[in-house]
Amino acid sequence: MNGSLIALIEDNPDDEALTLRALKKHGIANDIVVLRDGVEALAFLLAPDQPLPHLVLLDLKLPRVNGLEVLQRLRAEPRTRLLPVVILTSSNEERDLIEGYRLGANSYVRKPVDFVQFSDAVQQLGLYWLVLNQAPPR
Amino acid sequence: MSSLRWRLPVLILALLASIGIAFTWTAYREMRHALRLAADERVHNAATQLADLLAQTAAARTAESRRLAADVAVQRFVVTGEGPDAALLVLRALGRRNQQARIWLSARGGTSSTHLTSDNVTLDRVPEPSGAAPAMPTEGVGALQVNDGRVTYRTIAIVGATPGQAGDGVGFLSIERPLSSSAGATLMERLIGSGATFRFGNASGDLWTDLSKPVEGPPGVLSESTTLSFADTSRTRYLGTTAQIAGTPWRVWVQFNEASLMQPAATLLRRMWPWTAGLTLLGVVAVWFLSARITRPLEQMAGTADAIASGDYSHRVSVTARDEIGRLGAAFNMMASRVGESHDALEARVQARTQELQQSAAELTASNRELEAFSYSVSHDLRAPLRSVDGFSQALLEDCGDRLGPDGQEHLRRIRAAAQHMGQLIDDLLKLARVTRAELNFERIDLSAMAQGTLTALSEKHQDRAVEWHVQPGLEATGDARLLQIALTNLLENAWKFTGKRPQAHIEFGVRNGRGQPREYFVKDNGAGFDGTYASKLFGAFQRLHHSGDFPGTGIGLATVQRIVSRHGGQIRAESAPEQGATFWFTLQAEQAI
Repeated sequence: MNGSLIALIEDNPDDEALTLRALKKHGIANDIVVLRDGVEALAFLLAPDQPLPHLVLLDLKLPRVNGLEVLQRLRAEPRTRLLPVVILTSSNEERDLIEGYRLGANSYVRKPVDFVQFSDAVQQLGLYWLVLNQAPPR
Repeated sequence: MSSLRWRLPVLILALLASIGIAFTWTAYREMRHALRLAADERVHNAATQLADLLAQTAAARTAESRRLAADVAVQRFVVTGEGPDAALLVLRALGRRNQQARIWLSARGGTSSTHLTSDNVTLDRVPEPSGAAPAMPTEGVGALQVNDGRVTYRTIAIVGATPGQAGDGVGFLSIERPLSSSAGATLMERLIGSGATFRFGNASGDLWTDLSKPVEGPPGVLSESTTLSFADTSRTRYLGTTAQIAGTPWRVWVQFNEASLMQPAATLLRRMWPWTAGLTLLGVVAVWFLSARITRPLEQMAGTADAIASGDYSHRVSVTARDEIGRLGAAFNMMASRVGESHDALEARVQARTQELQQSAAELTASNRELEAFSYSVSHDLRAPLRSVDGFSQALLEDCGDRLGPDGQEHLRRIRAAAQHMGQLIDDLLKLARVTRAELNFERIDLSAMAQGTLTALSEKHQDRAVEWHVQPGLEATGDARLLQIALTNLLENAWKFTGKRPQAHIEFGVRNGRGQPREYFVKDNGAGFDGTYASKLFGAFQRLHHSGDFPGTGIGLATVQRIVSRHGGQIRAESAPEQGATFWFTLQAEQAI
C-alpha cells in the first residue's frame, strides 16, 4: 500500500483527524493529501503537473464549492474522468445518494457515529480501493 | 302558441265567439218560438175569418131560397097543384139572374102529375103515395159535390109545411149552384194575405176544392184547436189549421208557408252574424294589443333574466307601470341588483380566498423548503459533532485508558453510548420526517412476502435468538411499498425486541376480516407487553413505556408507523397487558372491505 496517494477532501478538522487516525491505525496509505474545501480540491486535482491520487475520499458538505460540484467537474475532465471517487459523508439523504451516483461516484459510504464502526469502514475502504480493486489504467 | 301574447287573444276569441254564437242562437230560437205563436194565431184567425165569411154567404143563400119558397105562387103550386105557370114565372126570374144555377121545385100530393121544364128551372109534382116521389131533404145548404166536372152545392128550402095552410101537398125548393160562380177566390186570398192558400171542403173530408176545382185535401188529422206543421212533396214546410163553417156541412183549411212566416227570424240571424263576428274580431284585436302591452315587459324581463343568467348583471328592466307587472319589474330589478351584489361579493371572497390560498401555498412551499434544508442540515451537521465526541472518547480510551482508571473508562463509555444514542435519535427523526414528506406511489403489495423477508433478515442478524414466527400467506394490500416496508419493519422489530427475554418467542402476522369493516392486519407477539392504560401514549414521538435499560429504543418507531398508516387512510391501535404480549392492529383505508 506504500506509495499510494489518497486525497481526503474534508472541511471538518475533527473528521479529518479521526479519518487520518483510522487510516494510520490500519496502516493504510502513508501518503495522504488533505484538501479543505472544493476550490482547493479542484485546484489540486485538476492541476496538470500534479500526480493524481489513487483514491479520492470526498465529503459532500464543503465551503465555497460543494462535493457534488467537485465530482461533476472531475467527471467532466478527461484526465480525472475515471479517477476512483468515494463519497464519505454524514448524510444519508436520498437525493445525495442519487445525485452522487448519477454524477459518477464509485462508492457512497456514510460515516457512522460509532468510531469503531467508522474505523472499520475506513479500513475496508482502503483495503478495497487500494489493494483489491484494479484501478483504471492511467 | 306557447307565448302568452298568442294565448290570451286566442282565449278571448274562443270566449267571445262562443258567447256570440250562444247569444245569436238563443235570440234566433226565441224569435222563432214567438213567431210560431204569432203564426199559429194568424193561421187560426185566417181560418176563422174565412169560415165566418163563408157562413155568411151560406146563410144568405139559404135566406134567398126560403124567400122564394115562401112566394105565394110557389106555395099554391106545391100545396094545391094549381097555377104551375105562375110558380114557373117566379122561379125563372131567379134562373135568369143565376144562369149557371139549376132550380128544381119538387112536390107531392093530390092525384095528378105535373112536370114542367123551362131553361134551368124544373117543376115536378107527383101524386102520393107514389114510389117515384123523392124523400124530403133537410133544409139548408148541402154538402159539396162534383157535377159535370164542376163543384156544386145545393140550397134546400121546405115548401108547404107551414101550419094553417089548406091543401094536401108538400115539397121543397132546391137550387144547385157551382162554386166557381161564387165571388170570391181572389177576395178570400186577399183576405188571408200573401204566402197563404186555403182549401174549402166537406166536413166529412171526402171533397176538397180551391173554389174552382177539386183538389187534394190537407194532410193529417184535422183539429180546430191546433195547427199542423208539415212538409209537402217538394219539402216546403207549411203551417195549417181548419175551421168548421157554422150552419153548413163545410169546413175550411188555411195553410201558410212556414218559411215566409219565419222570415223575420232568418233575417235576424243573417243580420246578427256579421255583428257577432265583428264584435269578436274587435275584442280579439283589443286583447291582442292589451296582451302585447302585458307581455312586452314580461318578454323584456325574460331577456334580462337570460342576460343575468349568462353572467351580465348590469341589465335592468325598464318598467314604469304601476300595476302588478310594474311591481314585478321593480322586484325583478331589485333581485337582479341583489344577485349582482352577492355575485360580486362572492367573487371578491373567492378572490380573497384564492389569494390567501396562494399565500398559504407559497408559505407552505417556503416552510417545506426550510424543513428540507433543516433536515438536510441536521443530517449533515448534527451528526458530525457526535462523531467527534464518540471518536475522541474512543481515542482517549485507546491512548490514555490506562491512566484514567476504571471509573474514567466507564465515564468515557457512557459518553460514547450517549453520543451513539443521539445519533440513532437523529436518524429516527429524519426517517419520521421523510415518511411525512414522501410522495405516495400506490401499488399492489404482497404483505406476507414483505413480513416473511423482514423476519428472515432479523433472524439472520440475531442468530442468538430462537424466535418462532407465523405469517398468514397471501395477504395483499394496496399501498406505498417503501412506507409499508418501514411500518412493517418497525412493528416486527418491536416484536422481535420485546420478546427478547422469552425463551419461546413467538411472532404472528395476519389479518382479521371485519364484517363491512376494513380488513384489520395484526402483528402479535408473546413478549413483555405493556400496561394497556398507556396504549394511547404509545404512538406519540419520544413516548416510551419501557426503561431503556430493559429495551433500548428511541420512541420514534411507533410514531413513524402511525404516520404511515394514517397516510394510507388507516388506523392503528394496540392491545396488551404487562407480560401478556402485545398485538398491534392496523387498517389501510386504500382497500375496500372484503
